[in-house]
Amino acid sequence: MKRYLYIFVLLSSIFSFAQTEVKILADTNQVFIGDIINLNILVNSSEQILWPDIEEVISPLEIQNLSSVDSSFVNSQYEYSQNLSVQQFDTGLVVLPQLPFVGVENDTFYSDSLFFSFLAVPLDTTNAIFDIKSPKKVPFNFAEAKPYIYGFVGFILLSLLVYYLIRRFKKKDTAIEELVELIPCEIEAINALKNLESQSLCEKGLVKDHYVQLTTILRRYFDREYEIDTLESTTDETIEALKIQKLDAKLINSISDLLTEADYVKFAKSKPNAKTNNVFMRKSYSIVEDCHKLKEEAQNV
Amino acid sequence: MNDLDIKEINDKIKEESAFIDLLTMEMNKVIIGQSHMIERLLIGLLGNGHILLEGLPGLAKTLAINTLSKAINGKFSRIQFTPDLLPSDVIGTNVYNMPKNEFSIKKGPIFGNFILADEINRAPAKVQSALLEAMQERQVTIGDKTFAMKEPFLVLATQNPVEQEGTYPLPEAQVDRFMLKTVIDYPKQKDEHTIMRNSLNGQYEIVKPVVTMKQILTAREVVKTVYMDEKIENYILDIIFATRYPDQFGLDNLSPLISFGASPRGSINLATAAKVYAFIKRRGYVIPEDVRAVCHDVLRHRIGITYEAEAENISSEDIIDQILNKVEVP
Repeated sequence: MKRYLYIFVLLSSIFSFAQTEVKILADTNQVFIGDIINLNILVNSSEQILWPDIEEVISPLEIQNLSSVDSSFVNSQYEYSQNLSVQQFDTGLVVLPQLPFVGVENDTFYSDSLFFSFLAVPLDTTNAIFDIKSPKKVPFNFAEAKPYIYGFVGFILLSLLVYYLIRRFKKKDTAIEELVELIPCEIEAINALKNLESQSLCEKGLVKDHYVQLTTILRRYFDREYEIDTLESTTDETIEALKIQKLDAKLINSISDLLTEADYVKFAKSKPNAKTNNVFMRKSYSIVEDCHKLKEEAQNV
Repeated sequence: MNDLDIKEINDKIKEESAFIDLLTMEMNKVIIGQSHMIERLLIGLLGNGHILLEGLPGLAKTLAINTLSKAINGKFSRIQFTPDLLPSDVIGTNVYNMPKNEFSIKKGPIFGNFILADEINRAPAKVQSALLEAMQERQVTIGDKTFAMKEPFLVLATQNPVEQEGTYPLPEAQVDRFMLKTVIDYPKQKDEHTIMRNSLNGQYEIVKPVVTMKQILTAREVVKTVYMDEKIENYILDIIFATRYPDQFGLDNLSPLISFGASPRGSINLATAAKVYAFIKRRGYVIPEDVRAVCHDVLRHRIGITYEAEAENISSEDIIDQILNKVEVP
């Protein structure tokens, strides 16, 4: 009886072990260097398996493609499956070691090790040697050129916009200048002299103001007629600048007399009599007229 | 002041300025080809100011003030500024008098009418400041005694624009105390020919006193009466303000070039110098030409230029030119 009991315990212990089967199926075990070998890992177990990190354990083979682990539970059996593609870039024999699969009850199951042979590509040395092939010409692709085309068009449009704005502002400036130039300098001066005369400042005792305005009118006229900065020049400098314009000596003297007399009034409290004021007023008209006449004659020549 | 006043001033000026021709002629006997410097010396003398002369060696700076001194019969002193000079070497000091067993005051060379401070930038700041204080205050204190300077008192300081190594440039505040800064250039070829020939022939003219110091002091009083119209005053102020706020005068380009503009002392000295210039030209009133004639000499040392201006090789002269060409003449 004791003997049967031993046999029962022994058999029961055998049957109580987990039933686990690990298979790795390869489509081939011999390929050329760089070619792909497809593997299928199948695990059939009565207990749940903790799936290993295949990438780590499969080294030195390089994984090209790795599917997710497929699992199912059928007839009290857990079935696991994973597909992967591997390749190798060295020639020779590579051993895929036994892969460990650990069960939840801490049992470890190993697959069988596999051998793969990676062969070098055979060279046909009997053929003639050919040149290295030149790079392949890629046909024009509009999608690739699109950003450059858009950028170029954008740049052209921006440039046109800037050009248009500059032209517009310049036109405005020119418009103002043209407006000023519409009144010829001699007419402007004569009108200003008439306006000054009509104010009768000397009769009102404002002799200094009269001469200040009179010289300002004449200096502004010289400024426009001869393009010399008379408003920022002293009497001597103005006369020197006018001499360069090759004016008649008599006319220069006349201008000099007037400006000098005006300086006396402005800076030395001189008060010329009414007759002198009138003479200088008439002289101012003739200075403007004579200067303009001479300028026109010079231009015609 | 009415029209008659101006005529009176003109007459008085004609009377009191007669010595100018004599003085100029006497100086021209010795100083050849430096009429601008002579004119500026007269402006400094009659305007009761001091002059900073800048020029290369050998341009008759020392000779000019020495000649002026002789022509006026004044006391001339020359102080050569060196790095080891002490303030007491300039103003004087207390000396122990052994026989009398007491300290007595020994006056320095500054006690003269015409002082030539040669190469002022070679002495340290304490000596410069001793001189400049005497120039400004017109008095010197030695120990516990204060002495007023004799009139006329004209300091002519010279600076050499080259050999700047080991010098002590005058601070802006002290440079401002000089009424004029005159830059002397080489004489013209014709003038230098005369100088060379006179030197080779040993023809040295002897300068005689042609003016008295009393005449100078009287002329100074007459200069004060020269009429300056409000328009001229405003013109001067416009120029001075344009050095301070150029953007307000349409000179925006000058703003980054000027570090500081002319001080109120600048406007006072410009007005005074313009009056003296009018006096020298025998006029009883100031015209814009007078202001422009002295403007460069009065302002060139009062305008501070920035590093940017220095980098662009723009001097205070160029800035003054631009201001004068922009500020409207009355």
